[in-house]
Amino acid sequence: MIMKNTRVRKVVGSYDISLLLIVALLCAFGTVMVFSTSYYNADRFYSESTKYYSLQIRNIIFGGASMIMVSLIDYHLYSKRIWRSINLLYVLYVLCMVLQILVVFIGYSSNGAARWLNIGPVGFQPSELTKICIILMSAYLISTRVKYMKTLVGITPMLILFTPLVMLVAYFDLSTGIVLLAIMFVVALVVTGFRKYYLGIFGVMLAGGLVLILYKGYRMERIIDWLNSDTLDTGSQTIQGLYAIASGGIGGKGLGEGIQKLGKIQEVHTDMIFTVVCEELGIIGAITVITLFLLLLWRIYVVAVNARDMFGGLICVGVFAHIATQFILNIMVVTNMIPATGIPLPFISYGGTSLVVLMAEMGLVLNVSKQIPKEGVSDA
Amino acid sequence: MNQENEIKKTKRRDVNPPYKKGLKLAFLVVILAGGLIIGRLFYINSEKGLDYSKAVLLQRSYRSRSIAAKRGSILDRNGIILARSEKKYNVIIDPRQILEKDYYLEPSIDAMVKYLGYDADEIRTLIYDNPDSSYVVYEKDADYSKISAYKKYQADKLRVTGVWFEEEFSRIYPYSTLASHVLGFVNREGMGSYGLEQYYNDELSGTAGLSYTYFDSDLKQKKIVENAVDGYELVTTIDYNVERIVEEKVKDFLDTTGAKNIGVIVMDPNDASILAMASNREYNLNDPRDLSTCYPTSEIMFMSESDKLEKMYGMWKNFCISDTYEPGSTFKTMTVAAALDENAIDTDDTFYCAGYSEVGGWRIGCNNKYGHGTLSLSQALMKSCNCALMEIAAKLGKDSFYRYQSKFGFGAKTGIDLPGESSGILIPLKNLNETELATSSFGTTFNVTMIQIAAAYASIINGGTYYQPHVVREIRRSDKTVVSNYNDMGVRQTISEGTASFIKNALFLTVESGTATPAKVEGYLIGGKTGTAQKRPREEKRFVVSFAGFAPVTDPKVLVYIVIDEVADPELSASSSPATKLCAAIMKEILPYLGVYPDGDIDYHVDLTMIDDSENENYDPFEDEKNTDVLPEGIDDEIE
Repeated sequence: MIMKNTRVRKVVGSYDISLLLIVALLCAFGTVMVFSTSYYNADRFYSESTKYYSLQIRNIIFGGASMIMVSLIDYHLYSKRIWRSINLLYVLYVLCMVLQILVVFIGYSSNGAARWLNIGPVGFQPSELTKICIILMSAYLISTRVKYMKTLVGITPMLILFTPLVMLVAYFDLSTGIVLLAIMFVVALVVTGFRKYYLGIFGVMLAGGLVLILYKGYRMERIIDWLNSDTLDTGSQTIQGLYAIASGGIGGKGLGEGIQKLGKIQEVHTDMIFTVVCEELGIIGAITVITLFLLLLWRIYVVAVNARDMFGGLICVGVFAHIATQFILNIMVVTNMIPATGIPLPFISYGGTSLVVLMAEMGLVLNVSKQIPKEGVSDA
Repeated sequence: MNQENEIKKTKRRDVNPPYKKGLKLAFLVVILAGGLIIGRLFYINSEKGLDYSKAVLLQRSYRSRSIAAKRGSILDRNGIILARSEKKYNVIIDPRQILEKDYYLEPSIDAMVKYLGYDADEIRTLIYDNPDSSYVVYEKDADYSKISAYKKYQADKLRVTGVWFEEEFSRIYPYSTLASHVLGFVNREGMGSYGLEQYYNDELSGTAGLSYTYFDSDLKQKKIVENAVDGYELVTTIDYNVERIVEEKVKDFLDTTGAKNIGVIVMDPNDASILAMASNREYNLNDPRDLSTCYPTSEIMFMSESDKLEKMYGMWKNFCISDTYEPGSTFKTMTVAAALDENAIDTDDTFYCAGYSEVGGWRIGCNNKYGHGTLSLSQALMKSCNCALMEIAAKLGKDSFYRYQSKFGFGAKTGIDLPGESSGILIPLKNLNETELATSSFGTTFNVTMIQIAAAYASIINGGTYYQPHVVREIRRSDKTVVSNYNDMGVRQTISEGTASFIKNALFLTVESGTATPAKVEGYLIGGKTGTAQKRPREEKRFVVSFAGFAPVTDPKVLVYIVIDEVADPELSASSSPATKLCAAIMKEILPYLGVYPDGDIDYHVDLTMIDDSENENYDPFEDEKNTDVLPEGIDDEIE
């Protein structure tokens, strides 16, 4: 049946063109917004207004290349044994562990949290690679153990493998840790449905999360800020972001006409970019962006449910979970619906590693879509 | 075929993956979240839209930044820069900002250590010691490359904060103490203090620019930059080399002889432009609060703060224009010139000196108590005879005397372009009775400033034109276009050409064979008049000695006026020789520099009426040098 890894079948499907189109639209829109938000600061600090804009175009070129490359690789290759019961996914897992440990020791910090590794001249965020690892591993571990998933036994290997990795990430970067957990649990939950044992797991995770929040003072402070958001002083990024959103109105001030990006919101081209979308393009622009994301998720959903086998399907679920979580969390943060935390808006925020990894994930989904059996062709 | 498809469709529905239901639910949750977010956006806009839009504009409209203008340079007459401004960067630390959030502290300190090279502990202490301050100037004149490295690093770091950079122009005086009283300095507020810096502050400082953002009627932001206009440059009449030589000689004098105060003015008599102006209280313009140029360290150590401040004010004051004193015999030149010009006397007149004169019931002594005997007019000047001068002034009359005092610029500020000028005090015309006229005739019982004497002498030497003394020759923009020039500062005619010519020759003889022989410089025709004035209270026997010299007599190019207040050496205290010797030392070096070269074989004869000294048995030429009790005790009280 579909769930079996039968390699005999030829690849007969084709790329999901609408998915490709939506991704291209998001990237193009993102680049425009990166320019609009960054030119002022880039000019001020580097005397080169197109600095981030041109870097983002470079990122898109790299991302596009990684998407095409990944989309050409049959995803079954990842789960193929290479030695005894070892497959490429375990290699990837070990690599991610090593990189995350390296970050602890030799990583350099941006915004105070060590998240980066320097590879030659290129800064690289290992936690982004870890996201792909979690997506693929979750899909693999669940699709091969689907029979046991109804009990705690089925999910145990995932917990054992992922706990140290997620902890390493979450220690420095709680929000990425949350994204990783969200991916893992969405993939597990869509297969198993709700089970009582999740309550126990979530309970433990909540306790761990609390420890991490209390350990780093600024996290608690952000929660307190959020609870008292009415009295926040105007120096706060959240308030400045809300100023941007609220001053946009229905139609916005017009592309490039925003004021808040001029020194008032720091990092405006990364995590806070949505506020300027609202300021310059108004609620109409915001709804357009949200709709684009929903359309993208819908396409991923369609590929997921039509996938040739469960591994492929769950890969798509993982990607779905990743994009959905980041997109929702990012916008909820900037609209002050949840406490502030640093999560970029997929495809739109400036950032190299994030974009390349997202595009690689799109490559995965495209490869799965390519292998969907067509109507009229035997699927037995 | 159709049927087959039908079957397959059913079949596919049957083989729906087990996660489809769950994923559908997840998708629904996402859509719901999307809806919630859109709802939130509408809420924010409708609830806060107006307030926040206003807030956005409000926090912008105040964003204006002033752009510092570059202060103009001050140049000497040959274009040597005496003062200039350089852009500098100050590092300002904002402890309040850093302490606002716990997580600012360490990253901010790290960045300062790494990029600005500061000591972590020192910065930490500074931050904790000034928790409420937002403006601590931590480093002045910081290296620009360091700053740009920090800026680059800080640009995308949210947690690195609390360091600002301030652009500032700092004033540099390349020759630190040179012409300190002429130049003045710029205080901490950027305002000129003392000297040209103060007098021409408006011209030098230029106009600060402004950069601000405002909103037009469409609420579109407009950025307006009004560039700063650099200040004007001053081209002074100061000659760097003359100034340097004069200051060297003053220093030499202080090292060898010493005095309470010395002032030297070197002037071009043909336009009253100042070539050099110096005193013994030169200070370091680059560090004007440093007293060490004027006081020994051991003394400074024991000064209280108010003491120090008082000493600083004294040090910054320009002796040559602010201090007043009784001019003494140098003023005799003016009395004689006035009387000649008014035809009250003739060049061939003779006078008799018995060593004293009886005036208004007072017995007023001559500088030579044994008496000069019979003298010609020129000898009256050469020997500096008080009795002859009293006679001359009496012939001139008080009205004319007073008129000439004013004509020569006494009793009023000369208008030199330097701040802090005094006007001196004359005896008012209504009080100018017989006694007062007599004492005034030889330069006592009224006060003058050095610049007044110098300007008056210049008018005699140049043939009778009084020029307003000045230090600035030209004001120009930074592109060298001239804004204004002060080349022609002629004010009035003081005396006739003929009178001037007689006086010049008489003063030449004074140096050749009169009281001022030490002022002779080999190879030059030097003219001049000495002065010795007793300071009050008279009984303390403290003296102000002075000498006004000029050269060459045939075509005067330079006037040197020296005032020495209380020569340290008691042997010399009442003698004008320290002043005449200092003048000779200065002349010898500046004349070749000004293009006047010594001539080994000077054939210059002055044919003025002379009475042979040998006719007077009592005459002792050495007594001319010595100032004895000229003014009788109590006369000052009556005059006042």
